[in-house]
Amino acid sequence: MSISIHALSKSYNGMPVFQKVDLELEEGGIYCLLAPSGAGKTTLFRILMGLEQADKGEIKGIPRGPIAAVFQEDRLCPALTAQKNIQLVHPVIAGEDLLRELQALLPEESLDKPVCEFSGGMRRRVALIRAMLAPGQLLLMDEPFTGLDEDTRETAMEYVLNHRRGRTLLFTTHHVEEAKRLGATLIQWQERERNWKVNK
Amino acid sequence: MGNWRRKTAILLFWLMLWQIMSGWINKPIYLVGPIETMQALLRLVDSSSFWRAVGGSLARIGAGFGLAAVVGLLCGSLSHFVPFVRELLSPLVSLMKTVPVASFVILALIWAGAEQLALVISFVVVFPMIYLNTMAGLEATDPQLLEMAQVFHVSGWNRLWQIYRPALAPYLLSACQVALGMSWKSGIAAEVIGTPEFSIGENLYMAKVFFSTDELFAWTAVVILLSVLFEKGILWILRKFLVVKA
Repeated sequence: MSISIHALSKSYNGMPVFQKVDLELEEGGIYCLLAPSGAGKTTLFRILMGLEQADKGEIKGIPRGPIAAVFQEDRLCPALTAQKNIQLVHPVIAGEDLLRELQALLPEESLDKPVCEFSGGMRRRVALIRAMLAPGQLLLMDEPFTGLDEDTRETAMEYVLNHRRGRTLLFTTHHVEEAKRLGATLIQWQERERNWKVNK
Repeated sequence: MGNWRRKTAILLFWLMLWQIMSGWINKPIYLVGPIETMQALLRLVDSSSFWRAVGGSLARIGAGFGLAAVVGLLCGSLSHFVPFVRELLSPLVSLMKTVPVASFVILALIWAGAEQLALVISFVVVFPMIYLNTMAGLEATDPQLLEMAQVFHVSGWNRLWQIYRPALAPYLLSACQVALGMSWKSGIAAEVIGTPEFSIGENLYMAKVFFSTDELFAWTAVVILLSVLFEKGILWILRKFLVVKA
């Protein structure tokens, strides 16, 4: 089922964040929101996640059940290991399978440490793996590759492509190259109208 | 090791000063020295009534503390999630915090009698601390993690155990640390007033009646020792449950 956003508006204290957003996201598509800071990407994501209400407009076709998300912050439980952080959202996955997934993006010696001892880039990768393994049917990622260096960024993007399992992916970034690398349809910010348009 | 020696030396200094003072005053009714205290303690330990008193006080104060900890934790959690419960309990908790322990002691004597006095008093003193700190700890839970749990549909048990518990732990541990000492002091004070049978408080009271200052000192030493052991034991158990391991 595709996701259709119709005439969606949101403002804070009378200041419009975005106005009359119309977007159509095909099922299984990869979309990239390209927008400057302050364009309300995070607000749009929060509305899609059901954490906030829009002022006007409607959204149809958000799959029921969990959403696999990478927030702008990592949002990991600091005292838990990478495994336990992932098992929190995906209790079924265990042992060997999980270790193999983690080793794809993390150094092996880190796996028995709590994530609060990780570097920022490592925590980011845990957040990415968590989203890719989570059972949600929709992937929403807010600047997922920020804080990763050149090499790990490439590995991380490949990991995302390999683990998407045909699910719809919507992500944000400041870098056009990331959108190109993932083969995403660009959704661009229109400053005058204060909304987004699919770049055809 | 050097630190340990230093501490022992300081302790010995004060013990010696205490001994010298008592020798100088030379009136055992006012001040007995550490040696006489030790002798009185050895005399007490030898009798079965000593152990019954220790057991009785420990059981009552411990039960009061345990009950207050459980009920405080439950009510505190309920108050966090249901605002009406918080409003409902708020005057009661304020009352428990502000009413002097002595008033509670006399009320409890009238209502419940001397038998379970220490239990009631220990409960009344501990409950508000656990209750308020449970609420504060839950309030301090990271809202970003709670949103994450909501979006990913993390199970209720996992939210409780992995997100709320780590936030609650420091509040609950420090509350218990204070509450453990308070429950002992107020529990024993209540026993002195109510003098229930087989209690430390009763023995302290008797020491006063018979002017046996050496026994007063010996019982006080017992209270201090028990209080430290009680605190260490309970905190050890709490840390097992509360502190999150990777």
